[in-house]
Amino acid sequence: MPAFSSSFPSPLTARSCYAIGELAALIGVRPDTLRYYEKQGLLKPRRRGRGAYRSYDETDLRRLRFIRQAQRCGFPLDEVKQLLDLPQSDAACCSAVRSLAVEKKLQLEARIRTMQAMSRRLDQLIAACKDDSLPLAECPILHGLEQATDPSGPA
Amino acid sequence: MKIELLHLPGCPRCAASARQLRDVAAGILGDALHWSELDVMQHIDYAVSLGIVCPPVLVIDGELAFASLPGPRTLTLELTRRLQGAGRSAP
Repeated sequence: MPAFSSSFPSPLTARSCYAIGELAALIGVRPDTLRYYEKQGLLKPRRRGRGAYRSYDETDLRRLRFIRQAQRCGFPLDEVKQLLDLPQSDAACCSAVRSLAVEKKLQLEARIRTMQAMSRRLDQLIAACKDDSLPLAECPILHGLEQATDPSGPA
Repeated sequence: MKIELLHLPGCPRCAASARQLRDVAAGILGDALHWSELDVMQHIDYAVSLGIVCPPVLVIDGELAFASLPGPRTLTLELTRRLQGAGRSAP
């Protein structure tokens, strides 16, 4: 469960306040990305007064790192939001996070197997193409792709 | 008949449902029931090969029969259907 308490600032990046450009640069994204996350309810920067600039703190930084890490692990933003919202949920417990992570792992494992099957199929096609001088109409790779079966099926 | 519950151990609600379903299956199949409960993380290859995306699920004779745990009545109907099908196809 990500605990985004502001009471434990990271010693390497301890800052009380970031502007949108600073935070974006720190994470390696564009400021538009942060605005998009805000629109999706993933980030809630503070604004002091009407028309004031967005202000982010250490909690936002950790939250943003979590979002990016979860995205790299294959979680779409709606599921990232589910994870972030869990601490506020009445039914929050580690098993809810674990279930979500297991579901995601099963999806990733299925995708890995599909891609491995596609890779094996491409190996076969590449091996079948031994003559670079053939006209395109006789290309065994293109013929093979036309006849390709579902790569998620049995290898 | 082989029935496998693929689940994530540690969920008390799932455990209660599993006990109930096992009792239902035992009542219908008797000694012909081969019931097992598998941790999906320990059998990830099997789970992926069956297309499981959201445990707990029930697998009957190697086929994903219920993508979420059925109620006792639904399981009863399914097992009865399978028994009748097996009876018709027997020589």
